[in-house]
Amino acid sequence: MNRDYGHDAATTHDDAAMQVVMVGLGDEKFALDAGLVREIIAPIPATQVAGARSFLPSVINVRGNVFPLAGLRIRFGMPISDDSADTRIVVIEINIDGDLSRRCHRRQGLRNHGNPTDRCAADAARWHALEAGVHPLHHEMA
Amino acid sequence: MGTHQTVIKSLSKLHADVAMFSGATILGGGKTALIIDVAQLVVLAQAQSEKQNQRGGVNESRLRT
Repeated sequence: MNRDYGHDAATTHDDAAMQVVMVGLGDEKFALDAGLVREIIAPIPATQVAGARSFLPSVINVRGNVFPLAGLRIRFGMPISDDSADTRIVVIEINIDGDLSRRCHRRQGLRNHGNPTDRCAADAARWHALEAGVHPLHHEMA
Repeated sequence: MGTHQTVIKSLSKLHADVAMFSGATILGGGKTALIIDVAQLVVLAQAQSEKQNQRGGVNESRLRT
């Protein structure tokens, strides 16, 4: 009967609960509203965009669509590190000025408490917290 | 090099400030390639060279005196 274990929000039907995807950036953990997340993919080669803002350095091809890749680490002013085995790109869909667009964030380690699943229930940082600074963007030139 | 027929995809609003590229496309190998907006590039270059000329003109006149 102990429901405090793992995916509690999904099982307790708490209206105030929110399903989130937890992502680790350096030593910090952030959460994204799971409803925004379209997919989580392994790092792929990115094409640098000259003249773009520093935290939006490149675009990537996700299933035939060109999506901007945001660097949360850059946006948050966190040290940039090389990709590790745990680095993933989180593809999210958000509305910008009425334009539905997808963007992707490169993150380090989708880990939550050693659980390999990336979905967990938590009342954690909301999207705007992340909005204030998206993630590491530093990668291989395509 | 050569000729390609390709589907042009526009850049997202997040890259709306990037004037140099008019869009992007996906190459055969799956890579993303940006499409240079030549007309914009010329405009940007002209603006830049005008600025440089103004500055350069000052420097030159200094050198000559």
